[in-house]
This record gives sequence, structure tokens and C-alpha cells, in this order.
Amino acid sequence: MIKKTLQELTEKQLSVSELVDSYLKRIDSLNKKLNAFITIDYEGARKRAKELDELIHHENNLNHINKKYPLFGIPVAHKDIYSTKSIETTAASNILKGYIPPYDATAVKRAHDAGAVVLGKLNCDAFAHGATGENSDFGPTKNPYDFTKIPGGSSSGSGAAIASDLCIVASGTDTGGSLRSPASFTNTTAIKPTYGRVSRYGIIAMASSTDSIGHITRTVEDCAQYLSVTAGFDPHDATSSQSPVPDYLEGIDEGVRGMKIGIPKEYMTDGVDAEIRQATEVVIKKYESLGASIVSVSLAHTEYALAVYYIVQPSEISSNLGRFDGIRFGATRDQFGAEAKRRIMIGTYALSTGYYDAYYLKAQKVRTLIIEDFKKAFEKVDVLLAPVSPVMPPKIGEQVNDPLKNYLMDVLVGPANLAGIPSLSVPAGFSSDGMPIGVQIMGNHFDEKTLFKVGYALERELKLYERKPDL
Amino acid sequence: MKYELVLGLEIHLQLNTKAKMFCSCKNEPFGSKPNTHVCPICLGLPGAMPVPNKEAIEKAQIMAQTLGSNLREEIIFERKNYFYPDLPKAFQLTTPHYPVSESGTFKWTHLNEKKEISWREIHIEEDTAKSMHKNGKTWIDFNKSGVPLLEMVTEPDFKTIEDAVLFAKEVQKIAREIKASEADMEKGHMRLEANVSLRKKGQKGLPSYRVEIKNINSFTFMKNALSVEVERQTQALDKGETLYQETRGYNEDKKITFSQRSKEEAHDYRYFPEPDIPPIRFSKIEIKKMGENSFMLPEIKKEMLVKANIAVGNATIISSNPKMYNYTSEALDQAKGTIISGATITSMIVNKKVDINVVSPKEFVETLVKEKESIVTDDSQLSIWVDQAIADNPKAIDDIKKGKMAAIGVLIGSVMKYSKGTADVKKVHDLLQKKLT
Repeated sequence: MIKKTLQELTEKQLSVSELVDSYLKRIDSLNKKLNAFITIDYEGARKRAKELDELIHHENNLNHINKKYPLFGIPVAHKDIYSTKSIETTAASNILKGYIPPYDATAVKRAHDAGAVVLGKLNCDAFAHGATGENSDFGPTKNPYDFTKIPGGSSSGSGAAIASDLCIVASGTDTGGSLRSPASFTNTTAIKPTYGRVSRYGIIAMASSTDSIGHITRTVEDCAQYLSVTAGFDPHDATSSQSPVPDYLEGIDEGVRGMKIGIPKEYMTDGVDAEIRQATEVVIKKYESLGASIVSVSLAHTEYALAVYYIVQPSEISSNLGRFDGIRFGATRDQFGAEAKRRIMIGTYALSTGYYDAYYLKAQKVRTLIIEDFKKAFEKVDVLLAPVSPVMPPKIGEQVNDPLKNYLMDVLVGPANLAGIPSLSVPAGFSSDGMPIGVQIMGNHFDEKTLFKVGYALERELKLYERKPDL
Repeated sequence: MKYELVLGLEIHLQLNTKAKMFCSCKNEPFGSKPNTHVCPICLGLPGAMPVPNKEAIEKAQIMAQTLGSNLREEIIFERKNYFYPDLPKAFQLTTPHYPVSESGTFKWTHLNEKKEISWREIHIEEDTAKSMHKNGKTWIDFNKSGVPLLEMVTEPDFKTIEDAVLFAKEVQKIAREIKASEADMEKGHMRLEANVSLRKKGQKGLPSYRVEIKNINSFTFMKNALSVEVERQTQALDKGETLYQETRGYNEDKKITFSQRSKEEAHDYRYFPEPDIPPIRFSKIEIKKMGENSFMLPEIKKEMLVKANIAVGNATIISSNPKMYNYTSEALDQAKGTIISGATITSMIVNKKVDINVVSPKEFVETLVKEKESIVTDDSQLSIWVDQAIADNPKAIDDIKKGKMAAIGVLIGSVMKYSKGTADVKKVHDLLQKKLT
């Protein structure tokens, strides 16, 4: 879609302003139903569109535009935990209502410099805490395929916006599945890049050691193209990697012939919904028919991953949220939602003197074992294939009083975050009642390129991006 | 006195780097308009991330090295979590478990008396912002937020209060000499804390309590506060009272210390490694190199040479070349107490009259000394050679008489030949001048 839109814009079949206006109009008509956007930046988007139209008007050599602005005129929207200069950034929490950052996150700036147009800010679970989108202080986002169901989270608005064509790229974050979960529930594609591949600078921290900065798109190709823009070393992020960014589109259509795809048996247990397992099996068969060899592998410490994640993540949250003390900006601390308070309490407890060794330190040691599991697996296979969610999306409100059930939704996505490896979530099919199902392709550190190749091979076969919700 | 002093110091020192510890804001906490050197990072805005300042780490290592504390191969920043208006992130980044250096001894001399103190550790951390209370309101200046800070902790080894004061003064002097900090206590560049308790004479181990005296802003304050506190503790122990762990302040007017915080009120800081900063590691070789003289800023080396009466030009050349500097400083050490001047040594090194890759500094100096000792300066002997040179070189004499003073070189050459190079050239020249005019 990026490619096609770029072509339309540079061939001047369409002006950026016309394109942006049509998206704004669509958002206007659908957002009340979906609640995907918290802020719609009409003024900023139109101003930016005009700027770009003038730029192309004065540029005779359109190759320059294509080269310098790989996202020329592409309408994007950012999850509301991305700092956006002069656009309100709430993290979907009342505590930050009215906060206008004085700076852009690096990922925002890179997209802007590449020519993207920001349409607004997307809904999510407050501070990205959640797997359903229900923890937003601005109300839950609805699943475009069934308004009574959750769209996945925490990047709930990102999945819903892409599924409903409210923008072409929706940014998000994945701390423990927060991009892959909404992608799997909305028939969209999400990349959770390697930890350190995309700068975290300017993105409100949830759990600093697992936060990964990625995005949701309709196609694998778009996903790869956008990552080429956001990935790379950032002097503002000491954990960002210096390793060079490859051209993710180059060779994306090479197929999977000869590749080894591992199926971790711990991810296909009875605990996973039968329809999801079935859809995954269909995908496995497909890959086999495309010439890949399927290998069963074991990630022995998978059962401990969730426990480790729910110690490390709240511990870091309890410290990261300390700055919202109501002194310099934002509202007072009573404005924290229930989930934030819950995680602050768990994390504070886990880090306290006398408990630190038993919880945080122990969790970090187990984390090392989980990393080792993946390392060993990638000695044998090129990628790992597994379901994203163990369950189909519940009804909105169904689980709000059962935090543990919500936490369990992270069970198949958390390990990749703990290990820092990349994972691509792609559409795999639909359930009998018409809800989307996704699978994830996990790869070795910094091997996003292979993930896109594998994802593209499936996309080309299934063409699920053609199927859209009835809005 | 039947009690023995158990006294340790904690010195906080702001490093005078160009930028702050984790951002590129100007490091100028004193004297600027409030909140003019700030950015999302030192204001602790959502999403901002710290990136450690290399210059600050290096200055911390130079300071630790100079003070005799052992550099560590791994520095890890951790979060010290607590709430305070001057702490925008609600945690301070510090290095409690993996500091810049640990253990080691600092030795110095005072009035010919040798003194030493053991280090516990030297941490690098960030300073907090500054609170000011005015018109019933609290104002916060974030210019100080994120300024690099050293926390230097000694073992409780001081024998006397005077020794602790002398030590603090010595640290201040060195910080200034190596240009790590202006160490101005009035401006808050240097702040002291003392831990003081008493134990019965001959008793081993540390007492069960420890009184911390904070916010010491001058050496006099430190001396007075500690004297008063030691007196208070002595009287209490004499009366058989039990003393408790606490933080006490000092009231200079009333000459008393007063309780500020007891142990029960102590924070649980919930330390854990800062996930935003990977561990900073140095190899054994790098640490060893830092231990050598070369691990010093060139400007400091230059200043030290100039102070030792070396010409500025030579000092500049030598200080900018680590190998040459190491050679020079060793040669200068060797030459101490001999007749060889620093000027001779340095000009020979700079003018490559000695091959520093082949000749050791020791050999170099010994050779110079030997040559110098064998030089003939005796006037009567020199006169004999000078007279003979005049007799042997009528042409040169003619030239000189015609005004060609350069011909004097021929005569000097002859003298050097007769003396086998041992004649004092300057004296020969003077003698010739005298005899020919």
C-alpha cells in the first residue's frame, strides 16, 4: 500500500492534501464506533500535507522525492505513548491529560523526516499496561470485526486503525506482545523488532528492558518498508544497536524453499484454543508445500517466561512511573488507573530490600535460561513459528475483573520480549465466527529480514489483507 | 580519653565537565539564570533516556587513580528510587554496587608527618536539582539536575578530627590541580558528610551505632560540628546511655548537633540496574594503562612540567606525546639530586639527542651525569689550552682582528681537541673573548 500510494502521489494522480483529507474524513466517520484515536490532529496533518504538496510542486526530478522521502505523504498515526512535539501525549492515562511534549521521539522524527504525515494519536491501554485495550482512561477500542469484542492490546488503536484503513502505518510498542496481540485479532501485520533495533528515545517507558518499538500495517511489505525508516542507531538511546540496517525489501519475495521452520512444542499445547491451533497447523502445511522443512523444537523454559515477565516488567514500571508525581506536569497520582497502581505495587514489592534477590534477581537469572533456549533453537532452525494468542478475543468487559486471565494472554508473546528477539505477527486465517487469527514468526537477533521473507511468502499465498471488516 | 574515634568521610564533588552526566546540557549549576540549562533528559520528561558522558567517566577515573583508589573493570549505573521535588525521575542514577573504584590507600604528608587513609569506594552519580524556599513557596532550579558528581567514601580510619579536615583539604587541592573540579565549597562543588561514633579504647570492630552529619559546607564547620558531636557522644557514653544510628545536623550559633532522621525513617531505595544504560566495561589492559602517567589530561601534564621549571615550548611538546611524557617524568625523577637540570633533560628529549626507544631514562641520566662530572672547569688548565689554540691558529687570530668573530669557533674547536671534549665550552669562550680583546 505504501508503494502504491507513493506512486499515486509522485505521479500526481492525487495530492497529499487530497489523500490526507480522505483519511481524516474516514477517521471522522468511523472513530466514534471504534475509538481508535485519542487525538486527531486535523490542523497539523493538513499543514504538513500542504508543505509536501508544495515540495513536490517545486521538484522536477521525482526520483529525488522517492529517494529522500521514502514515506512521502504516507498517512501515519502514533500510539499515544510516543512523544510528539506539540501534539498532546497522554499515554491513555488521565494523569497525563493535557501534556504536550516539547520534543519528538526519535521514531516519530525519523518518520517525519522521511515524509510521513501524522494524522493523530492512537488509543491504547494506559501506559501500555494490558492485552485488551480496556485499560485506557479514554474508553476501550472496539474490534473492527466485532464491536463487542476487544481488538487486542496494548496497541489497541493501532490494530483497529489499520484494519479499518484509518491510516497506512500505525506505530506501537511491544513490551510483552502489545503489537502482535492486536495484529492477530485484527487481521493485520505487526513487527516487534529486536530489542535495540529501533530507538526507544521519546517513547514513554513501560518496562525499559523489554520495550520494543514497532508498528502495524496491512501488509508485510509495508511493515518492512517502514522499519527501514525507523531502525538504526540513535545517540540518544544507549541501548540502540550500531549494527547496520539492511534493505528489508530486497529479496523479500525469495520464498521459503530450503528454510527450516521450527515449531516450539510448548506453544502448541492444549492450553491454546483449538481453532487457533488448527489455523497454525494450516499455516505449517502451507509452508511445507512451499518447500520449507518443518522441525519440532523445544523451548524448555517457556513455562517460566510469564512469571519472569510479571516480575521484571512491574519492577521496571514501578520505577518508570515514579516521575508522575504531580509536581512538574500532569495530574496528581490519584489519577493513576487501577492497572497502573496494581503494577506499581507488585513492582515496588519485588524490588524491596529482602525481596530483590528472591524476585527480581532470580527472574533475571531465569531470563538468561530463556535466552539460551532460543539461542539453541536458532542453531537448528531459521525461524520459529507459533500462535500469537492462546485465546480468541474476549468480549469487552468480560475479563476486566480478572487481571490474571488478562496476564495469561501474554503467555506466547512474552518470551520473545524477554529474549530480545524479533517477531513478526501475520494473519493466518479466521475462526468459525469470523474473528481473525494470527501467527508469529520469531527469528534470531537482528534477523528481521528473514522474518519478512517468511511472512511475505505466506501473505502471497493467503492474501488475507484483501479481507476487510464490515464497518 | 577512654574512647577511640571511629570517623569516616564522604566527599561529594561536582565534576567540571563540559556537559552534564547524561545529556548534552551545559554543566553550569552555579550562576546561570535558573532553568536555562535544561532538556527533556535532565527534566525527567516522559520518554527521555540517559546516555553516559564519557568525559565524566574519564575524569572520575583520573580522580580515583590520583587518589590511590583501585579502578574497577566494570561500572554499572543503578536506580536509587525515592521521591523528592528536586529529583524529577523519582530516581537518582548512581553506582552503589559497581563503582568507579574501590579500596586502595591515599597517602599524603602534612608538616613532614606521613598520613594515610583507606578508601571504601568512589562512585559516580548525577546531582539532583536545587530547591530554593522563598516567600512560602519552593522553587526548583534544574540547572543542577544531572550534573556529574563523585561520591568518595573513606573507611572510618581517621585517628583525629584534624586528620579528617586535612584530608578533605588535600582532596580539594588535588581536584583543583588535576582540573577535575573547582571544588569550591561555597558554590556547592564540594560537600562533606561525616560518619562518627566512639568505641572503648582497645575495643575491636565497629560500634553498634553511627551518627551521620550531613550538609557540611566548610572545613571550619566540619571541625566544629565534629568536636561538638564527639563531646556529646562522650558524655552520653559516660552516663551509660545507648546511642542510636541517626542523621544529625549542626547549629553553629548554639554549638549543638540535633537529630534530623533516625534509622527507622531510613528509605528503602529499591536499587536495581538501570536498564537504559548497558554496563560500562574496561579491559585489564585499559585499567593498567590508566594506572600509568599517560592517563592524565595533557593540559595537566603540561602545567606540572612548567611548574618544574621546564620551558613552556618543551612542556607543550612533551605533554602531548604520552610516550615522551612518561620517559621525561621518569628521567626527571632520576635526575633529582644530581647536577643535571630539568631543562637539559627536556631539551635533549625534545631535540631527539637521545633515542627514547633505545636508552632507558636511567641510562640517559647516568650518562649525562658522567659527562657533566668529567668536564674541566679549572681556569688554569683551560688557560693553557686557550693559549696553545691562539698560538696554533694565526689565521683565525687574523680573521678575528679583522672583525670576523665567527673564527672564534676554530679556536674553540682546537681547545676541545686538546681537552678531548672535556673543556667547559662556555668558560673557554669567555676566556678567549677576554684574551683577544
